[in-house]
Amino acid sequence: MSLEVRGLVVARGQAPVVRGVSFSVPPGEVTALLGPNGAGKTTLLEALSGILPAQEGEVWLFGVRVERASRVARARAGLAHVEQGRAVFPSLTVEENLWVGARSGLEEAFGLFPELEKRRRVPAGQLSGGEQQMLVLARALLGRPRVLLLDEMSLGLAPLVVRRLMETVERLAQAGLAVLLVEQFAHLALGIARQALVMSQGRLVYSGPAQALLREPGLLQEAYLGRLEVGA
Amino acid sequence: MLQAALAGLLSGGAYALLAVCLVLLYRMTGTLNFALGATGVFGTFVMFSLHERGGPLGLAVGLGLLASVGIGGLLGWAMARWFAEAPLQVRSSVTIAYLIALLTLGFWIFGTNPKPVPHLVGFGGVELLGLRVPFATLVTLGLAALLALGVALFLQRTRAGVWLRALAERPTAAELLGVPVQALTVGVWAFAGGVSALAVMLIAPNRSPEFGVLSLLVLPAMAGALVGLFRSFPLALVGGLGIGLIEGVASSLPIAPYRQALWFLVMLAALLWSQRKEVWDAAR
Repeated sequence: MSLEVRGLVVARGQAPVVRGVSFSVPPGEVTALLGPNGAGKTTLLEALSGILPAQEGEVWLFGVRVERASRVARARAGLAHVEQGRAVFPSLTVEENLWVGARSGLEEAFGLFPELEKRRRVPAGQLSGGEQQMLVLARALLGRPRVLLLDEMSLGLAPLVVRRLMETVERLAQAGLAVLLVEQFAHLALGIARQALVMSQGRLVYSGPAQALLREPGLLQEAYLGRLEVGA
Repeated sequence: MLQAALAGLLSGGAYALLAVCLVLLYRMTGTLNFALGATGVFGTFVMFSLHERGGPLGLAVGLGLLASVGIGGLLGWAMARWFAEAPLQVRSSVTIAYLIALLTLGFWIFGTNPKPVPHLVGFGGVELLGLRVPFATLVTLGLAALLALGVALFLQRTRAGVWLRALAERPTAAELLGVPVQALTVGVWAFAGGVSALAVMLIAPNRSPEFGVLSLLVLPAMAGALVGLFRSFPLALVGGLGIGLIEGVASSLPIAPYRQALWFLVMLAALLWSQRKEVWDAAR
């Protein structure tokens, strides 16, 4: 497994937000992480990349325990986290933003999103929302990650842009990347995912094939309401 | 009066060196470093002490610079380790605490008596338009200009410079991309510590060589940095030099005893200018 999580507990302040979650993310596929607002999805991703400390449990990255490792160490071990809210460096140009994360040249990024090459000298703060999302995704990929955590990529973007980003993520997974995708539009995420995880109130209430949730919308509804047991 | 203004340029060059470092620290780490002067003074006193004991000047200067680099880096490490997410007020307050600690340590180690001060630069000078410009002034001005230009180019043209600008905007996002934020932060603080020592070593022969007095050099430097609103390196350079010039001119006037308070007026003017829109809107 690329990423394995065992009994993870994460708190914000004193309040536990993620309560004993276990799952794994295999290479070469997208795993969708769904759930209602406040379920703990973003908190979980932040604990995986080291933004928040884990209170209990283990995080394994390619067979190495990393829950105590620094953010930089996790990034260098092959974990990339694209945060919610398009975290560009606004006063840096597109090119400079890409250089921050790059391990070699920028051609790969411009190959994925040619529109970024046309605007390479423009400060990232002046890009449209869609271009900014492309930029943060491309920037993360230039670090040559093996596990990619994506948090609410589609937030506030036009449907066409969202579709394009989803297609890109699907292609990346097909090329061998392990992707954990948090997404508000469940049908979009399930459309490209093989596995799905559903969280409710900090617990994992569904872990199984994504197609099962697509075929039976009632199942997804039950999961969102927390009426399912893990593995149902 | 021109000769007096010229004499003020030595102080101005030192203020400019410190002002550029203050801007660098503010822009890259979001901190007003009140301990910058004391950091430089500590290294300068290490240099004084070694030289006083018969050590060669070059070695004494080198070890003095190294001491300030270490002291600056130590504060940077503490900032990166414990105050990385803290707001500006907290981080700046930490530097005030560090200033007090350095003053205490300085008085304890070096005593309160003034030290014999070696001149880093020879006593000679050059004639320029009928005015005598000492070598020390030329060296200090050259270093200040070089520092302002060098730092600006470094931030624009190098990979580490881009990393520093990135971490100044979003430290967490930079870390998630594998940028060694802690090492860079310590590096910036250590560099500023070294430059501050150089500035203090250059200006010390013209000042009362007391630990506490020299530590307050950070205040006119802050006034200089304020001219560029803690954002612009060229304006911080101009601000530092301008304050030195004003002090120099004032030394030949009846207000000479109060000349070192004149930078309060510079600070006031810079603050009013920065708030001009609000002030004029309120007046309307």
